Amino acid sequence: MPKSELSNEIRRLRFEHGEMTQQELADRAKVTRQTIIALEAGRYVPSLLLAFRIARVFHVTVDDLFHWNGKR
Amino acid sequence: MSVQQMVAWFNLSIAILSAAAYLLLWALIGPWRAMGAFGLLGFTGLSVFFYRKSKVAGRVAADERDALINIRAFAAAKSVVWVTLIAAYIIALQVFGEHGAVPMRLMGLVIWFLFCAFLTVHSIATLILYARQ
Repeated sequence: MPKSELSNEIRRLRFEHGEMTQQELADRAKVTRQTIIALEAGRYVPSLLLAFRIARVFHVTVDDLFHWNGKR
Repeated sequence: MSVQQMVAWFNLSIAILSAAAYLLLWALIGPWRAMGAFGLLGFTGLSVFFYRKSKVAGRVAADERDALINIRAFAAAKSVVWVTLIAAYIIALQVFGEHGAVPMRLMGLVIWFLFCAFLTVHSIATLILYARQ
């Protein structure tokens, strides 16, 4: 899947959760800060497992977190 | 910079240093005895110390993205090694003939060269992939 087809709300949700830092989110989702940076920049498509872990940190669903912009 | 990127830079430096030392020693003591320069490649084992910093901090040293990058870099390096190995075989066949004998010291040089090529391609591929994704 081209990476531009998937957008996400991670940056917005971080700021809505008390301006959570990238490092704090990385620690809670058990990934490196570089991966959070790559995700926010839309350069990396996460695994389903990681998507669920990040969604759980923000108490939202994966659908609320990621948006697929591709054509059917 | 992630731990894997630091390791890639470290390994790339060692590979380049070994190749440069080999070429320098070749001019001084000949191509066969100069192979001792490839002993410098053993310093790549020190790359494990890069992981100690992350361990102390209690943070994740590598995740799924790092693993994916490593798999892709390994595949690129493996491809280069295979192509070089086949090229070396074809060249040896042409030079020594179908029933010829390949000197063992030449085999040693090929193995060192392949090791050096693997480290170089793996490191460069790792650094490129980190920049892209």
